[in-house]
Order: sequence, then structure tokens, then C-alpha cells
Amino acid sequence: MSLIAFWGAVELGLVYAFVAIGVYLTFRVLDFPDLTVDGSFPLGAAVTAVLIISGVNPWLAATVAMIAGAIAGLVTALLNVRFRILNLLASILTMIALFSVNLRVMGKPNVALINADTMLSPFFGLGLRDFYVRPLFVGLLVLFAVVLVWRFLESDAGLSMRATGANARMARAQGVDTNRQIYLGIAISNALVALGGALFAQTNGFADVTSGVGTIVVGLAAVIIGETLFGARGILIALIGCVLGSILYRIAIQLALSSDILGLKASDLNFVTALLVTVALILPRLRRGGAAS
Amino acid sequence: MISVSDIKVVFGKGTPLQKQALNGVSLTIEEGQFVTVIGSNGAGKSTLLGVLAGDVIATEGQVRIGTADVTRQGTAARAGRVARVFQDPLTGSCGSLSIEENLALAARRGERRGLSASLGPRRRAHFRERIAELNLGLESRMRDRMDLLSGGQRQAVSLVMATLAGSDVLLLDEHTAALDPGMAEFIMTLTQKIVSERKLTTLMVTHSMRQALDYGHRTVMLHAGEIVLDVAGDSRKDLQVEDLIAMFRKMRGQTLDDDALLIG
Amino acid sequence: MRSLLLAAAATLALALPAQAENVTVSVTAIVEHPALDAARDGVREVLEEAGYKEGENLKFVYESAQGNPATAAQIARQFAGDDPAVIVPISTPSAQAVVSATKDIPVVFTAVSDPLGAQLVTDMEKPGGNVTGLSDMSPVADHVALIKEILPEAKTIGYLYNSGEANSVSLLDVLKAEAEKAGLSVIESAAIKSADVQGAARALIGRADVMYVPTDNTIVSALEGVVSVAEESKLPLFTADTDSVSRGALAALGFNYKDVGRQTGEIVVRILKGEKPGDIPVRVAVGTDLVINKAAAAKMGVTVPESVLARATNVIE
Repeated sequence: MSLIAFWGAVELGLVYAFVAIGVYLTFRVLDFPDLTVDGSFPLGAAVTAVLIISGVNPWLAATVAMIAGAIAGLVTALLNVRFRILNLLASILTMIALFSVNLRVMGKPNVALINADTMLSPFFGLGLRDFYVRPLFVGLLVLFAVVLVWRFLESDAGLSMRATGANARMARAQGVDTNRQIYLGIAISNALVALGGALFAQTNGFADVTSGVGTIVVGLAAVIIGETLFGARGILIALIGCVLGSILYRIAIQLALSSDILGLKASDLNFVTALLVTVALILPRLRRGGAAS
Repeated sequence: MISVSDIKVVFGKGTPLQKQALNGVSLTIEEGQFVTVIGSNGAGKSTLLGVLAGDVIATEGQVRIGTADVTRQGTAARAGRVARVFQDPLTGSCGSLSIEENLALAARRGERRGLSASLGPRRRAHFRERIAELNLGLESRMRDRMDLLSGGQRQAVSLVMATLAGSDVLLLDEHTAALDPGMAEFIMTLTQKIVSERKLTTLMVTHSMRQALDYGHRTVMLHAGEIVLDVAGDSRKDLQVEDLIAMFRKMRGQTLDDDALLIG
Repeated sequence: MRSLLLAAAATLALALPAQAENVTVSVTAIVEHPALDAARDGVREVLEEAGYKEGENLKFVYESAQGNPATAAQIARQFAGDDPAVIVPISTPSAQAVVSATKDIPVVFTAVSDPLGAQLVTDMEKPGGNVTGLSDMSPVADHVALIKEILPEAKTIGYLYNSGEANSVSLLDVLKAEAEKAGLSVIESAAIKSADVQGAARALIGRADVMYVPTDNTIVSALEGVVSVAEESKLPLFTADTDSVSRGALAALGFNYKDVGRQTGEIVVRILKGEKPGDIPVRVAVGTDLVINKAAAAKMGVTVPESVLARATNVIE
């Protein structure tokens, strides 16, 4: 694997680390299987691309993308909490609707940003080669996000979110408004995912309406790889696991692309990913079953 | 102080499974009083507890806890007034959180939860002290996950959790039913100690007639959604477990007769 | 004239076999698809004819992104790191990913409808930089002309497409403009997945006089459903994808993607011979096939004029 390919994988892994952290918040912290991310990732890309094209500051464009993602999450939460639609189904409904929304936002299926100024533009040409600048920049943002999410989950407010996912009945008995926690958690999760989408568009030069397909699976795979490597040893370790899991997932794809040593092709990765996620979904149930017996 | 007046609860209203769980229950518990509640399955004990906790919203009637009318408030909204220990040790605490995290969660019961760290050094020390009082050796395991503890240990921690934040009432929902006799004894002794030290207004639902008479100041028996016995003071002192069993038999006989009439 | 020059250059390239030096040409497509695969094979054919033989002096790398833009981005970085002589991205998202991954390796994109809109180049005549390529902008004006020639009475064209496919959406605007020039109107009916295609086709019954399907992966993948609607309600079906005719469409006028690939390959060879990509103008592919299905025409209640049959590349009886 070449240096450029390696750092390219790291960069993409870091972009998808936002997805992994978002998925960790919903699947692991809130115990809410949220597929909205397949729509909020391209939503983030679409919003940021359209705003940048129309001359908005790229940082502001990314911020607006996060707000759009949060709103998408709130819709899923509303369908589930207010209208009692099964969580998985509620998120699928939002995801499907977002496909049309994303087309509306962009006005066409693909918006190019190749020649536009992005958040990264000021850092190119400062002596460091582009393929280092990108992962470094995205990595710093990831670091920032990890610290914020970690401090939040270890605060009183975050503790009540964790309790909501772990034991909603107990949380209510402790005065936690569990519905509000679901709104908040899913909004934060999708805001992070949309930021991932915004960064994808800015680092790769385009927003494409199809870029959301399988986002949830990639995010889950990253969470699982992290958990497998580091075990369940506290919030910070879990978050770092998400980030490293996401990077390792991309390096695995890169290896499959760059060599035939494993006998793997890019086309086999869907199967490998599906297998990983299946294990991810079964494992907690097996553990719970073991604890209950 | 707790005051419920003419509470009626109907489940599944208008469906074939409609059930009148409480049928005009009125009960006033004075500040600092410890009331035990017994009754056969389906008598309405759990529903009464649910009405007080907020899990069940009464179809008719009024519920006052302390000075406030909480009739329409949900569980979370009235949690600041109600401390509670569940029957199932798994329900009362979060298995995936550590002991100290569970305590931190309980310490803020009914308060606004902000963004400050949930476990600072001062809080940690305070929690360790409270857990050490249990003499279960758990103070050295504050960072262990709750699901590593035995059922009895979890109930003991749950009792501590119930008293970390102030409350107007303590609800105990058959909280020793899932434990072995030795542990049940330990938890009851601990309960007695906590309730008397803190002069808590307490309502304890129990399956054990022994417990119902041995603990507290007053015993209430429910049957078919109504209060059929309410004794305190001297008349309660004279009451024996055998008397309660006899009353139970009589009640059950009545139901049988009723059923026989229905079928006939 | 220009295509003549181009052909001359290609012939020149053919006449001078390459030296035995090893070159790598890396090709990527967003998804595996008959047209895109044909384009890839066309590139390979021309390279071979020019003396670049796989396994001898040519390393021909091909990766498909499996329809996933994130994988396309990774493939782009992979190629950028491998530093091949030329990268050939097929389709818009693959081309965008490659162009943003490298500023110095020569890039020859192909099967991109709108290279300017996709920001692959800023000037078609003089691209500059490291990027040039071939557009496969569908010959929509010719399509409209064909429809008028076969069905002079037609007033409204029903456009069946997936509103999520970039090419189909940009073609819609072109079609509207061309149809207006020819005195026709366009109504659109969108399907975003194959399961919706037949329903979208039915939605055109009674509202359109002909159905027109662009090179749209979603619609083409579910063409049989469209054909049955066309036959039931005598709604003549035209496509831009020539393979669709043997599957029951009335007529198609479209690129032969093998040829598109070959024209792309010719540009690649020119770059391998030392030309700079920035000096090679971006061209629209040339050479379309006209394919007619007489049996399908009969089922849709249409008689194809002799003049059309006479110039068809292929007539299916």
C-alpha cells in the first residue's frame, strides 16, 4: 500500500469516525437502532455543498449542515416518541424521505465542489503535502468531537441519557424525562453524521445523493471493530474505539484494493461488513441472555 | 404526607379485557408514617403503588404527595417527591453503569441535570461513605458495573440510591421478594434503619404477612381494588399472621362464590 | 475535421508500436454495468492495438466502487498513491473523486455527460492541468428528430427516469429545450428504484404519445416492466440505450460504449506518447448506433418508415 493510499484510508476513516460516534450514541448509548444516518450523511454533504457553491463560508456551511442533520434526527425521534412508531421503522421513514429532501436541496443528484474553497483550502500549500493535510485537519476535528462527547456523556446530563438507553424505567423513576433524552441523543447523533457528510463533500470535491447508501452499516462496523479491540472499558475508550475502528475498516478496504494477498476484492467487502454487523447485533443479545440465566 | 382520594383505575377501557384495578380507594398517610400493604394477586397493590409513583394515571380521583396535586404528573415529573425501590433488583438500577454512576444518577433525582461532571472527587467520597455504611465491602468496588453485584447487593445499593436525594415519600415494591431469606432479612433490617433514622413517609407493598405486621405503624389490606382492612395502633398489635390468613381465606371464598354465581 | 485529425493521430499511434517500457493504466468505474464495462474494454482494446499488451509492457488495473461514492474516494486515493501513467475514471462520481485526489497524474475521464457541471474541467477546448476526457452527452436532438420521423403525429414525450441519477436529470433539461425547438412538449415521470419503474411508466398512459428512456441505470434495469406497459397501451418506447431494443424497446439511438471506450483509449495512448492532458480538448463522443425492433413496433401499433429502416445499424425482426 502506498503512502498516499494509506493516508487516504486514514482520512476517510476519520471522516466516517463522525458516523461511528453518532451510531455509538444511538445504538449503544440510547439503544435506539437509528437508520436515519443513511439520509443525514448525504444531507450534510448536500447542504454544505450547496451553501459553499452559493458563496457561504465553508465553516458556516458545515455548521448549517449539522443543524440540518439534527433536525432530521428530531423528525425520527418525533415519529417514535410522539406517534409511537417503532424506532427502526421511524428511522427508515425519515431516511427514505431524506432521499427526496436531498435531491430538493441540491436540485440535482450531484453537486461538484472541486474548484470551490473549503474549510481545508487555507491549509493547503503551507509546506505539508495535501495527503497529510486532509487527515490531519479532519483528525483534529475528530479529536475535538471525541472530547466533547466524552465530557458530555460523563456529565449529569449525559448520565441521564445513558440511563435512558440502559434502563428507561429506572431513569424515569430518577426523574429523567426519557423522551427528551431520545430527542436530544438522536439529534446530536445525526448532527455528527451530517458533519461527516459535510467533510466528505469538502475533502472529496462532490456531494452525491447516493453517498448515503450503507452509511449505517459502515458506522456499526466501526463501532464493533472498536469494541472487539478494546472491550467495554468506559466511555472514552469506547469513543476512541469508534475512531480507530472506522480507520481500521477503511484500511481493510484499502488492503483489499491494493493486493490480492487475502484473496479479497472490493466487491467482497459488502459481505464482510454485513457479517461484522450481524455479529454486532447478535453479540449484546447473547451477553444479555447469558446474564439473565 | 400522601393523600389519595376516591381513586379509580380502569385498564383497557372499552375493550373485552376491561379491568377495574382500583375501585374508589382513599388513603391518607401522615408525615413519617410507615404503612405496609398486603393483598392477594390482582388485589390492586401494584396499581396503587403505580398511581403513587406516576406509572399509572388514575382514571378518577386525586393524588396528593406532600403539598402538591400530582394526579396528572408522569413518573419523571414527580420523581423529586417520590423515592422508590423496585421488586426486581434489575429494574431499580442500571446494570451497564457503575455503582457510583448509579448513585450519581440518583443523587440528582428530581433536579435539573447540567453539564458538570457527574462524578467529582467530593461526590465520589460522599458516595463511598454512604456505601461503606452498608458493611458489604462494596466501597472498594465503586467502579464495578452494577450487573456484577448479587441481587441483594443491588437492592442494598438501591436503598441508598433512594435516600441520596430528598423525597416526600419512599415507595417499596415487594423489594425483598426476589431475594433469598437471609438477604431479605438483611434488606428489611436496613430498610427499618433508614426509614426510622430519616423519618421517611413510607409505603411498602409486600407478599409476606409476617413483614406486614412486624414492620411499620399501620397495615392496609386490599382486595378487588378496595381497602378491606386498615389497622394501626393497639388493634394492629393484637393481630396475628393467622388472623390475616383467615381473612385472606374468607376473601378468596367470597370470590369463589362470586365466580360460582357468575358461572351458574 | 477535428475528428479526422483525431483519427489521424490515432492511426499514427497505431503505426508506431510502443517501446517495451512498462506502463500502468488504472481504470475505475462507480459500478459494474454493461455500458461502463464495454467502455473499459474499449480502452483496453485500443491500448493493445497500440502495442501496450497486458502482462508484457502494460499493467491494466481495474476497480469498481460497487456503487458506493466512499469506496470511489478510496479507489481514487489508491490510484493516486500507485502513480500510474494515466488514470481513467468512468462515470461522474468516480471522475470527481479521482480529480480531487490528484493534481499531477494525467486523468482521462469518460462516460461523463456534463464535465463542466461536474467541475472536472473549466474549459472544454483548453482544459489545462492534468485532466481531459470524453463526454457521452446523449444526442438528444437526434432522439427528438427520430421520434418525429417515426411518429409525426406525436405531441408529448413522456420522459421516464430516476431523479437520483445525475445524468438523467441534466438530460431532462436538454430534452425540454430540444423538444420545444421541435414543437413538442415533455412530461416527466420519475422512479427512484427499480420496483417503482413500472408504476412510473403507467403514470404516462394517456398523458404522453411516446415514452422516452435515457441512459438511466434504474429504468434500464427494469425495462421489461416498461415494455409491457408500452405494448398494452400502445405507447411507443424509445431509448438511448441500444441494448434495450433486443429487450423489447421500439427503437434506440445511442452510443456504442465499446466505441466510446475506444475513443477514450485513443486519448490515453496520446498521453502515453507524451502529449499533455491539458492540451487535449474535451470532446463529445462520436458514433451512434440506430437499432430498430420491428416486432416491438408492431406490438406498439407503429409502422417504422423505410427511410429509418434503411439507415439502421441493426434491425431486429
